[in-house]
Amino acid sequence: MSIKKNDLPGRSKPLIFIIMGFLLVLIFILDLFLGSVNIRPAEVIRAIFRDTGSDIETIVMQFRLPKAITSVFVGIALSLSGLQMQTIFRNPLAGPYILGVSSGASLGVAIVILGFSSGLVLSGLQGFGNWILVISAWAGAGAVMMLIMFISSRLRDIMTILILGIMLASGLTAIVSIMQYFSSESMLKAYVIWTMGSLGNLSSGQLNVLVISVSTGIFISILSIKRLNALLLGENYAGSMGLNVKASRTIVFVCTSILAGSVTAFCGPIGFIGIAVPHIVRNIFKTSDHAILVPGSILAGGIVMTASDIVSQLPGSESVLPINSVTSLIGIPVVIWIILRNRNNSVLF
Amino acid sequence: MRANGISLFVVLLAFTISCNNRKDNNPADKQSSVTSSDSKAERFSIEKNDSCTILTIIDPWQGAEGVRHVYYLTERGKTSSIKADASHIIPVPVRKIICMSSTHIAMISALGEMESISGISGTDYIYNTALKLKADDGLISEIGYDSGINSEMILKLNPDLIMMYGIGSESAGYVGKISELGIKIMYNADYLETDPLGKAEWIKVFGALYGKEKLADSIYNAISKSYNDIKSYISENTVTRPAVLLGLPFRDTWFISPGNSYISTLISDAGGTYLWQDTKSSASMPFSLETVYMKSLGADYWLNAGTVSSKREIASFDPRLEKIPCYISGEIYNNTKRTSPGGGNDYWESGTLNPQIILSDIASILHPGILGDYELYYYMKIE
Amino acid sequence: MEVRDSSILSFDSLEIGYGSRNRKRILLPPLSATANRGELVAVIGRNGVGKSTLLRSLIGLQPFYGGNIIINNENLSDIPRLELARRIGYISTEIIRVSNMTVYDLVALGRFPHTNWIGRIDNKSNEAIANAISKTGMSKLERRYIVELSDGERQRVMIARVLAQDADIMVMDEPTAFLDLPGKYEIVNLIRNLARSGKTIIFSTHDINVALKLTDRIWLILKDRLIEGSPDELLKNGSLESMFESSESGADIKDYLKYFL
Repeated sequence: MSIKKNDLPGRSKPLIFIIMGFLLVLIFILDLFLGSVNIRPAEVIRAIFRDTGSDIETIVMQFRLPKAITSVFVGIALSLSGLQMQTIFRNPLAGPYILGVSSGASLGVAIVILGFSSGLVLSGLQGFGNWILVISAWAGAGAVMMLIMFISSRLRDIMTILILGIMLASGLTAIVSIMQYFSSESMLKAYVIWTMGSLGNLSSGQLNVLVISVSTGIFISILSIKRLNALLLGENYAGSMGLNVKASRTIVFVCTSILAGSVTAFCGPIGFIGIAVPHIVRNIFKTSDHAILVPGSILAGGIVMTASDIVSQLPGSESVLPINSVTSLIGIPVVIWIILRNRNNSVLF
Repeated sequence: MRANGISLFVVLLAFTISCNNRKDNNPADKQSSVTSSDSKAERFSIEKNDSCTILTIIDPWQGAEGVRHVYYLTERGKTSSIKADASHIIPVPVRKIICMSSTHIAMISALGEMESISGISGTDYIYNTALKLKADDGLISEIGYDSGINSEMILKLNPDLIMMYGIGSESAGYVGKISELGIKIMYNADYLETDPLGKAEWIKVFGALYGKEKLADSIYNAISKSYNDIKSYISENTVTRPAVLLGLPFRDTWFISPGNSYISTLISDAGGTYLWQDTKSSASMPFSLETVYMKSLGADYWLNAGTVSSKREIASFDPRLEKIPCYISGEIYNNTKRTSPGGGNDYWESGTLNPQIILSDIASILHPGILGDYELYYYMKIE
Repeated sequence: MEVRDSSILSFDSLEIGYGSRNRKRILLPPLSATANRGELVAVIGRNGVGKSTLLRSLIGLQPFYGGNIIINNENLSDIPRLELARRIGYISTEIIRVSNMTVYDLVALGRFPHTNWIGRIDNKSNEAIANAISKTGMSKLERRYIVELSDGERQRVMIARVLAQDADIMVMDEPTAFLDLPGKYEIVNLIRNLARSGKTIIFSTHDINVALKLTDRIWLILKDRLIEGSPDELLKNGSLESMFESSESGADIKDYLKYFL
């Protein structure tokens, strides 16, 4: 009796991957070509490969290239962490921020921007500019992660952890609201702009750190493929099949914190991609196997985020849109579609 | 019913006639301070008649259209025959005032009425030393900001008037509360004026409120003359119009002031060209860093780069800013020369009444030496 | 019954319960029992007495507070997790719903303790999966999505998963719950055949019929002790009546039980 390993009827997975790979490269290049300033494609290519020191080259190399790279890595990070959160909590609406990682980061940033309401301390911090925001965001995310770890080691039921995570996120957001209430106009605006997300703000040093953190997250995610598959059946069954459930929780939570925390620290809280992309991937490949979903999310995440960046640049016009509004416009229809599509099935996930 | 309608009409008619036709005793006094057709201010107007001064505040918040607040200023002690809401009848001179902005302070001081200030929003930011000392001693109370405004304190102080400025019509929320308590409120729209002289002209409003119209007029006339003199001098004695970059990006967006803004007018009057002076908008415009960077390549001077005090700070926001020619040449100037330890900036305080000084500052920056041995007053070079 | 050398799983003075170290709640006095290789063991008792807790403790999903559990002559706590999974498999009452998962996919998950770091299904695993699927009569439905299965079919797939795990011991918590009569028959038949082919199956049930007529051994859990024996023994020594002790219809029990003699 030789039954072949189950192949998806009619859908060639390798082909889809190749197409997605091409699409990613294409969109990446498009992101370099399109922007507020009109630059011809030939000039873009010249700028990348020659070293003329022209202004066009500065725009392409200093502004567009880092932004495009950031988009790809942010898309990957959010999608991978969203995927893992959806699997471990067996909840289709889970996302990278469900444990409060971004709320913790937001609190850290709020303390820096809003908390020091006498302009005195803020101007003292201005010398550090961007890095201060990154560090405080990371500190906030890290603190939340530790708290979640602690709670997770005490509680058996993962659903309880989910609810506590959501409550924690809400609580932190409430604290930030209070701070916003008491702050002055200009600081408020600064904070609000931070929450809208920005991909184009990274210096090369910061970009390096982002790439390293996200790559670490990717590495851990790939190693987690087997355990994520087991977790599809729930922690009890996974444990009965030999999975170390406690260690798995820790690994998945740490991975999510690294991925989501890094994104929030450098780019602000960018939403909806983490929730929407895993569903898109599940539906393209029609599988729940993480050996497909993980690489699929990497490719799809990069594509969707970079496409969103292109849209937010409003190519041809001088204005820009905040990235968060673009991702919401994409993500919300996807989420609605998921819910509507499955209302009869009672299986969202 | 008809009889009532007719009698109402008669009363109204009588009122308008009486307000207009009484003979006045001192024509010279009363004919001053009326805003004329060459008034630069767009957001207030003053008319006079025999029994009262009518002060109209126009569109006092961003985005407002067709909004008019009319106030009737009457002589204190005289019974008023004006039929209007009590909250809009103000006995002059005002004796006790609460200010929501430091610009108000400067104008009141210029009229010598500092004593009337009993409360301020943002006492930390007061630049005027005498007033700051009073605030530190508790003689001037802090009344809070926006919706965090301390209504109890205001009630306790019981001023004749609160001078507010509205961020938007949402201000109406907490504002309504205070006016319900019987406190008179006036929106001050000076910060929305796009003409530097128009902004300074608001001293006439204070002049009317304190019964010092003549003083206000003379102050304004002096400012206006000085400003216009400098302006014509500059335009006659300069050939080039250097390009100017303004502001600082936040994250990856640069919020650009439109061409129809206060600072843009100043730059133009100082013989310069603001890079976006042809744009028109009621709020600042979010542009991508690339766009602004490209344009900044053509700038000769960089003004108002946030509130930084060193070039290093600019670089810490975004190292790419170091590539801007103005950064490399070092031609960066901020209006932060006169700042107080509490975070106040005199540019926003006395600066509103000294557009001619600001003009001189900017002109000296754009055309070095044009005003001879001039020392920058509000502006300083950023190293 | 004696404990023979063919005992594959036994526990001695076992104290089961739940809660943390500081606030534990022990459900029952120390329990002892045995299962021999190839036996079909039914665990019966009133609702809430602790059957599920016992079963979960036996597979290491729930910590226990005293005594020991011996599997293949080794202490449970000494057996590494993966090795334990190769010896003993578990089916609970939880209903699994995952979209885009086929029967094959679900059964393949059972190979968890045997596959490499990424879970690659090699030929050996493929064979094991195929065998498991055919043994449970699911070959025709191999490509069907599990959300499209009937309850009985789904339960068979879960059993196939445990078979693919190559576990000799199978622990099942109420495998026939939620099933209709034909469904119950399918499952009971299946596990009987599996037992006959050498698997040791321990399952909890409310179905006295099945327990008394079809099994080799019964663990009867009362609120103060565990009574172990073959169905005949338990009927003869009147132990079964103890299960109905606190219920009101005690008088009719003897009549009811007569049906089984």
